[in-house]
This record gives sequence, C-alpha cells and structure tokens, in this order.
Amino acid sequence: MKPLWTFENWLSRSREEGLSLAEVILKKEMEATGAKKDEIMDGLEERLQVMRESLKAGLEREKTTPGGMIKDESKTLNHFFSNNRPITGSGVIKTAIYAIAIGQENAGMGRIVAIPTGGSAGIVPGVFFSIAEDKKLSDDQLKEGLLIAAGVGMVVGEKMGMAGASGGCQAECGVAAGMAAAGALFLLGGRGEEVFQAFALAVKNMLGLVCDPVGGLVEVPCVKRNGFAAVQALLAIDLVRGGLKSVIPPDEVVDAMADIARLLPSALKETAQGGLAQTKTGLNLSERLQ
Amino acid sequence: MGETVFSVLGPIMVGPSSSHTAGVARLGQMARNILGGAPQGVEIGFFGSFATTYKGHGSDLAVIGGLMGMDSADSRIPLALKIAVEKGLDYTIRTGEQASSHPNSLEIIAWNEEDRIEMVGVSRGGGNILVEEINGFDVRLDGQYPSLWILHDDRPGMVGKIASLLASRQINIAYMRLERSQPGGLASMTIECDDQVDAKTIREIGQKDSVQSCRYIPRVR
Repeated sequence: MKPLWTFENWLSRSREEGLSLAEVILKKEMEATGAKKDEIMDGLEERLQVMRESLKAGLEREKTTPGGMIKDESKTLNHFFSNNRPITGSGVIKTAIYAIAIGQENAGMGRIVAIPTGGSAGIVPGVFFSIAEDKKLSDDQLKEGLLIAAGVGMVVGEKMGMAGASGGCQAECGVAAGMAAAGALFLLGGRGEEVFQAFALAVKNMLGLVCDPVGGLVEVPCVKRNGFAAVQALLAIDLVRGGLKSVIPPDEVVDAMADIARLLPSALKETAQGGLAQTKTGLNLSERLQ
Repeated sequence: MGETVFSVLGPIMVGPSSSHTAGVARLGQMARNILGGAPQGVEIGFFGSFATTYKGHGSDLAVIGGLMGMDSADSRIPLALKIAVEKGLDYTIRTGEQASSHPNSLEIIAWNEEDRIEMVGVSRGGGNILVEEINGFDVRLDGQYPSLWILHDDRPGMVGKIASLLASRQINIAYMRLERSQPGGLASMTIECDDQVDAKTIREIGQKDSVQSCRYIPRVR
C-alpha cells in the first residue's frame, strides 16, 4: 500500500532530495498525473487570474444573491474604512474584506476557484493578495504559495473529505485557513517545519466548527466566515514568526480534525437541521426561499 | 481521496456550490451529450436535498445552462433561464421523491426532433458526478472520460467486435459496462476510453451488424 501523504513525509522528502517544500509538490504532481512542469504552472496561472477577477468583481458587487441574504458587504466595509481606522489593523481589515468579497462573489454565482471548496473560496486568495500587495510579491511567488496550499489540502484529503457535508465547516473554512497560513508563511520566507506549524495553529482554533447554513445555502454564515477564517490565518503566521509552536504536531492536528468529522452529528453537516439554520430567523428566512 | 494539486485548487466554477451548481451544470452537459445535440425541450426533476435548495443554489440555472452547452465555469450560467427563453428551449422543473439512493440526485428528460432521452444522475460533491441511468439502463459514467454509449442486440461476440475495432484505432478502454433489458433483447454498452474517439470510428461502430446506435459522450468540464 502507498504510504499516506503526511506533513512528516513532505518534510523528509524535502530534506532528502534538497528541494523546497513547493518543489516537492511540483515534483509529486508531475509523478502522480504525468503532467509537465509548464502545464502545472499554466494551471496555477489560470487559477491566479480567476482568483484576481473574482476579487475585483466581489469588491464591486451590489446585486443581491439568489438566497437574498448577501448583498454589498465588501463595498460597505471598504467605504467605511476608507475614512475610518480599523481597531484591528489595516492589513487585517483588508484581508477580511478581500476574503468576504470573494465569498460574496461565490454566493452570487460569480466565477471563482473552489479552494478547497466554493464556500471557503475567499480565504486563501484573501490572505495571499493582501500580503502580496504589502510585500510586493510577484505572481511567480504566489504560484509557489499555491503549491504549498495545495500540498496542505492533499495531506488533509488523505484522512478526511473536504466538504461541509462530510466534516462540517472545519473541513472547509478550517482547512482553507490552514492552507492560507502555510502558503503565506512560505511566501514570507518561512521554511521547513514552521510552515506546517502555521497550518496547525490556524486549524486547531477552528476544530469542531459546524456547517449550519441558513436554508442550506452558501450565504449565512459562510460569506462573513471567510473574513474571520482569513484573519485566523494571519494570526497563525505571526504567532509562528514570533516563535510559538503547536504542542500537538501538525499531522496529529489532522487526525483530530478527521476524528471530530466522524463524531459530528449529521444535523451539523450542511443539512440545515441544526444551529443557525434552525434559529427562529434562520427558519423564517428559509421558509421565504421555498 | 488521493487529491492532486488541481483537485484541491479547484474546480474553477460559477458559485455557489460545487455539488449543487458545478456538478449540476456537468450533469446538464452529460444529458445534452447523450441526446447527441441541442435539446428543444427538457423536463428536470430535482430530488433529495436538491428539491429543497435548488433555487438558492442556482441549480435550475446550472442544469439548463449545461443542457445549452455551457460548462461549469461559464459566466453566462446566472442568465441561463433567460437565454433558454430567448432560444426557445422549452423547460419544466419539478421536485419529488428520490430517484436514487443518493441525497443529491436529479432526472433529466430531454428531446429534439431526432431523439428523446431520460437520464438519472447524482452530484457527489466537489463537482464530481455520476450518471446512473440512461433510458432505464443502469450505467456508471462520471464525465471524466470520452465515452461511448452503444445500444445493440444481446447476442454473442458484441464486446469482442467493438473492443477489437477500438484496439485497431489505438483507443484504450478504461472502463466498460453492459446491461440488457432481457436475454436476447436490447442491450446497452457504455465504454469509457482513455483517448478521444474520432467520428469515423463512431460511425463504423454504429454501422456494425446488430448495433442499433452508437453515441459519443465527450468528457464534461
């Protein structure tokens, strides 16, 4: 049997072959799919462009979504913070606004990259584009960050499904936050073990997050949660840069998440049978949709 | 499981949901391909979780878009119902009991002047789909491979005849499935190939003895 793809294997392959973490994923993908390096880089380029277009469209979006619960959130926020200082910090609020913008775009049937899912599509690009602007990162660098994010998703995918219906929101926004944290820390010069520490810290704080969308739609709480999850990724990056480590190793954090995915009742896995979906307002909104 | 770079970073799609929007658009495309061209009329049945949430996920737009040939990343999908009216595509949508054991299943009946097909399919998450039934025959097509759907008389040698023709054209068979209405009756053969099948080969299979029809179902995005 093929050994499981884990953070530990990824790290040892990087050490043994003298490749960066991003190069390991590139090589692994070429081996697994038979694709050439250029084809993979073109695929990453295409995704980067779609992400960028979805961000731009989301920031301009004013049209109410099909479920009627989301409208022009990122525009409203941008307007306010162009004249007001955020309590959090300009990088933090920008990241949240970017992530929410793409979340809105997804809810409003815009074109997005599901990374790893449609409902969590704003988190990785929100974090990446916000940091890229501040640090003047090139597209080639962002593509390396995407390879790291993909490698993280591949590790998680070995042990659990990345869908609200199988693992709750931890499996969508939680995983996306971990992918964003690891990918962005790599972009900022993080190497080796610390990249996976960023994943572990971000995900640990989102373990057990349930998927309880109002009316079963990808609108409430999904769109705003993209903003919160993106900010978790930022904090994880700074905590690791500041020298903190997850006491539980990254691979065991994935085990914990997969374990929780099994234990979560199905009422909290995208079925709209519990949580926010079953509140008085949630039920009223849901009834209006029928 | 066994994720790749682009299964994690994708699909590129029109939101909001890979299962309720992207997968449904792909099922619509499959029905169009099985019919073998543009439909003039369609009836859609949404079941399970689709029945209660199809509107909010734009599943109706996605399936009609797919039936008009749009892929799951086509930005015209939000306008699909409007475009259908402009094109004169006659459509009805209903909801109902399960057509399949899967929670996200749908039925598509599509017709034009040449033909009429009935398809049952499920959306399995992440944009992945499975066509489970065509005109009452059990099939398993996931839209990832260029495929052939062949209707033929149930008699000895049919598999060999068709497989050797494909082999002579260097077309490798990835998966294959047979079903029949009754012994000696009408049979259905679905073949998923690793390679694209050219028009000449498709025509030659269709002209073989005891073959009623051969339809090419390209992979769907």
